Amino acid sequence: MAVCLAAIANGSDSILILRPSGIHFDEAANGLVHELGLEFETHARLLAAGDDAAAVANEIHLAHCKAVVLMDNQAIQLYAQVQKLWRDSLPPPPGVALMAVRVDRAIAGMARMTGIFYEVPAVTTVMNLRSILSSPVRKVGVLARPSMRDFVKENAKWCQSENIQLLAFEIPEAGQDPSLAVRRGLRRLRLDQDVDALWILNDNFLLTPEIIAGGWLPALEHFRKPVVVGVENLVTSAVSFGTFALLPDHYALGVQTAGIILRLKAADWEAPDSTRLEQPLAVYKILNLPQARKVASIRDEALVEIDKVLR
Amino acid sequence: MGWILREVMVKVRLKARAILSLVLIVAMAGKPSPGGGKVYVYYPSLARPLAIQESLARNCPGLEITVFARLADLEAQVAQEKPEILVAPGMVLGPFRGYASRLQGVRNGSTTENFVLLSLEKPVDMGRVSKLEIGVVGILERAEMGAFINGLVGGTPRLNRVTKVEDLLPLLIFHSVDAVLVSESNMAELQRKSQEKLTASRLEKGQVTLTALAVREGFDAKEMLMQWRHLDAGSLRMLGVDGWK
Repeated sequence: MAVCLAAIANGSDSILILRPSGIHFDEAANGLVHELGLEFETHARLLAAGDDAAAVANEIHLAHCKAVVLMDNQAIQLYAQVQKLWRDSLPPPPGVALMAVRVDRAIAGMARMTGIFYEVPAVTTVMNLRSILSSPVRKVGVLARPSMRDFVKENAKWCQSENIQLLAFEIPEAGQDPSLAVRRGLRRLRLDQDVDALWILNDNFLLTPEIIAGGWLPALEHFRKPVVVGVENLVTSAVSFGTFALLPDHYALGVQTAGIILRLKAADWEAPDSTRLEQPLAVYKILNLPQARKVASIRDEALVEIDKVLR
Repeated sequence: MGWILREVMVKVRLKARAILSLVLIVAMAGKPSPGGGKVYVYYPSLARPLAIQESLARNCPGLEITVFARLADLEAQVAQEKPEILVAPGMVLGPFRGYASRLQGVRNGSTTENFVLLSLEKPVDMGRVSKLEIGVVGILERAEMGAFINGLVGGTPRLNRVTKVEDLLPLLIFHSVDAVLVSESNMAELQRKSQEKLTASRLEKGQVTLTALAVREGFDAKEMLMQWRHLDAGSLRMLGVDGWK
């Protein structure tokens, strides 16, 4: 609060960052604050149990914050409550949401919001995979629940522009043993669709220890194609699971958020287009090289572009 | 999904730091020769800083070489450690006080390279450049970067800054910008990575000075420069040059 009030005094624009504590949020906040520079006064409020929406609304009001950055779903939910309580004569400051699961759904129904997806898009994933392989990647399979259909469809659209066909096999959310469904889906993608690679979504429903052991691992023994994942612990050299992992670059997410703030300022803090959310631009890449060599021909000269190569 | 990502990212960060520390230890393990000293490098390219650092450290075992991924980190460390040598694109070295340029990188006999505007399908209408949004790698602070770009493209476009060269491609693919500014060498790499039609528009004043090396004033860098002049072709390529003058 004191920092925000100082911003009023020195004429800089004040920005409130609502976020949990943690190294990734620190990284994103560092990128944001550094990129915004001295013409902005940023103030971070760390989320805590029992956070009061009225107190946050009062803080924003008193400090004349021009925009609010919301990291994580919890911060978005808190700002949704703030918006409901908002009684200022002016509309609430625009919000920029990031590092949230399905940010599109998280901000649905809220006013003056925009954001950046947390999930690394399939097209980014496959283009990065393609650049380290000598063989072509044209068809990529994915297993997804019906509730992720819109997400997969959106990703398939972006993939098309790069001549990548994203082929989905739906896993029912109920009524069938999910391990069996995963095995059946992978067999279908391998034999019927003849996919060149597999993209595994970060979906807790499909990545339980039981389904990994009973579904994914037995099926992947026969897959023998690159498997791209979104978490590092699925690309360890101990288990034959993921070949290549792409994770969000949090500092760069902060820089990307700063870009949105700068555009909001240029538009005099008008309501952002909430239908035009951004995809994350930067990724951190991990390659399981022995595993990759078993299933594909690798361009050794491209290894310098990988952040971490497991040998 | 969130908890998995976060848990994993903690591990990624810790392991990445451990690896970086290990590389630094390895690079520093050999006791620096009398001509040894600290060399800080900042060269945004498609190659990762760790890969550049490993290559340079193999070539110059007596030097303590650190390659930075971000300008902010370089600035902070230079202010704190005052290394003997800085290596970076010419326009990045300019603002560092107390350092004098001693070697200028060359490639194909030239000390500059051409930058172009790369766009999807159609070339950029240069008459409208001030109305465009252009993606750039943020190798200078925002104000300085704006002035630098305005000089290159001959207008005042809105800039969308990214931290790595490879991030320029998603900016185009997701239609977040009208064009991206890249060197001709990086342009070829981006075109190889994408199957979209990426069209280059040449810039009349698009020549940018290649990587240069500056020495802290008052420091006798004769032996260090000797090592630097004898870098192998692979390391030079990673710095965007094929020799020094």
